[in-house]
Amino acid sequence: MSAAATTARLPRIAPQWLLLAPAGLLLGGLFGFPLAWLAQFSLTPPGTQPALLGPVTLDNYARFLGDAFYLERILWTTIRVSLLSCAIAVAIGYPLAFWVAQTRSQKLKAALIAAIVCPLWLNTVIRAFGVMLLLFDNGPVVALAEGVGLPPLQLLYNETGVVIGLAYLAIPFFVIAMIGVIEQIDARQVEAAYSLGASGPYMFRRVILPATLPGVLNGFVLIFCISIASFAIPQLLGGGKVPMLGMLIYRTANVSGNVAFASAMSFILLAATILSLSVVTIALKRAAARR
Amino acid sequence: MAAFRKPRDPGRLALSAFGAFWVLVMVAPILVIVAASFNPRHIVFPPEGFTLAWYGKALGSENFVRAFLLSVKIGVVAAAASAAVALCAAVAIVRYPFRGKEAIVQALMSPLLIPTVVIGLAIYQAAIMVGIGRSFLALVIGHVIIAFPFPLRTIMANLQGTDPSLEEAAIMLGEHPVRAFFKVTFPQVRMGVAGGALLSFIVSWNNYPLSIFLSTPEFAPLPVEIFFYLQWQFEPLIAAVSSITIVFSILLIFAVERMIGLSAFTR
Repeated sequence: MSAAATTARLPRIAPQWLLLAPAGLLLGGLFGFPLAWLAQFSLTPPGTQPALLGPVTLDNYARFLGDAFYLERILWTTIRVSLLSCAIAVAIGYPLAFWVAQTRSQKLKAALIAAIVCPLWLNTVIRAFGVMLLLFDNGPVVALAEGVGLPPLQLLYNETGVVIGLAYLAIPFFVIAMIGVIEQIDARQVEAAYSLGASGPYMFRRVILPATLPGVLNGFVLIFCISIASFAIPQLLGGGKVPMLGMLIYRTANVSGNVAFASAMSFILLAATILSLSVVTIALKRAAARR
Repeated sequence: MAAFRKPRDPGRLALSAFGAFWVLVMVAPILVIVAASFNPRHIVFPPEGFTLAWYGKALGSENFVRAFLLSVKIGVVAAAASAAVALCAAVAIVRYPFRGKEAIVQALMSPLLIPTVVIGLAIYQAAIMVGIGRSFLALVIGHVIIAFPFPLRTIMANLQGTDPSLEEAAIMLGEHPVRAFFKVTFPQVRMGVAGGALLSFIVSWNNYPLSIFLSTPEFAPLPVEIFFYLQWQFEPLIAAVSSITIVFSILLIFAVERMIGLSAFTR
């Protein structure tokens, strides 16, 4: 056994711990410590300098969570905009994933997946820029809307722009997650239902929807967590006017210089992320156990 | 997979039209950037003319060239470091039994769970505290942390497919365990290591919410430089810079596709 041989040469420390040491150092020292230091910041009384194990207060959290302005204007805007954009992403992504999953030609399917995933490999700033070019006042989308007789649209530097941008970012994630789920539906079950005379809508409601619903929830929570933390989209497509948490953390720390408050906001964002992830995970586990 | 719908279903046709439309929409912003970079004067789509002048300006722009090179440098160092750390950790996890393995794997994957903005602020404050501030070192540390789970995943997957007995035989025949690993097992997981390093490079290459905390106007990786620029100015130059970045990213995608397959990033 290689473990025994290694231990003989490196006495006392078992090889697995030696091998894990760099990762442990990275995660503990270079990741865990900054997070702990940030926690200390968030607990530092306003107006004082943070110190390791210094005085502790919940004032920064209370200021955010106790103020209707922050709750409504920032937290609720963040959640509302994210929910809306994720709902749009699901409404587009679900049928899209369906179409891609049942494409018969493997070559075409690979090409479609590549086209959908392609934006994921580019950085968010560039994707936001591309969406901006489409949504401009004198851009193609506005021109098209005017062409069909719609009133002039303002799609940029407001909430609409942020919702469109976030949905655009979310669709590829959701589609990729769903294709795997849809491909796992038992095709025999579907064929059996058809041969027994089931109609399309009936089939969808009784066979396909129940089989894909856990996947939809998983995909939704994934894109929701990405959306609530988004930074480039509200800054660029919202012109900085749509107050979302991710963007405000940066601005509060770097423009206003209030690091303590930005830290508290960071942990509130983190809590929102973990909370939404665990709610869905627990719900899915319960549902699976019931079945 | 068998088709779910009966053939010649009108619903199927509608679904195809819907799907084709949205696939086009997904790539449209990228195509629009490339098209807009050929504009002679103003940044508009559809373009008003055709010129390659902005590409010349982009390649001659000190700021963008500097940002490009900085991004490459950070990416290479972060990729090498995270692949090396991930290789060690993956060997420990796959090859050795120990208590709390599940929890350790979860902890190692945790940077994927935490919003990058939060990691950025945390590293920035810690960097100020220890006196390195906004520096190359701080940027590399941040990028290694967010990139590390990707090579860990690819290398673990590759290691699980290897047989430890050959390596053990080499050790029993007197080879040093470390050398035995690199002679026997490493060649089998090489693609996972290289692919993982490449994914790390892409994570670093694309990162912006973490980098922005550790950048200054004179010292910014490419995505941050583009972001700063987009906030104040709007000329075809930025479309040309973005197009060059897009081409570079597409080359990286092809490399990943060759090495480990495209789903590695999103799984």
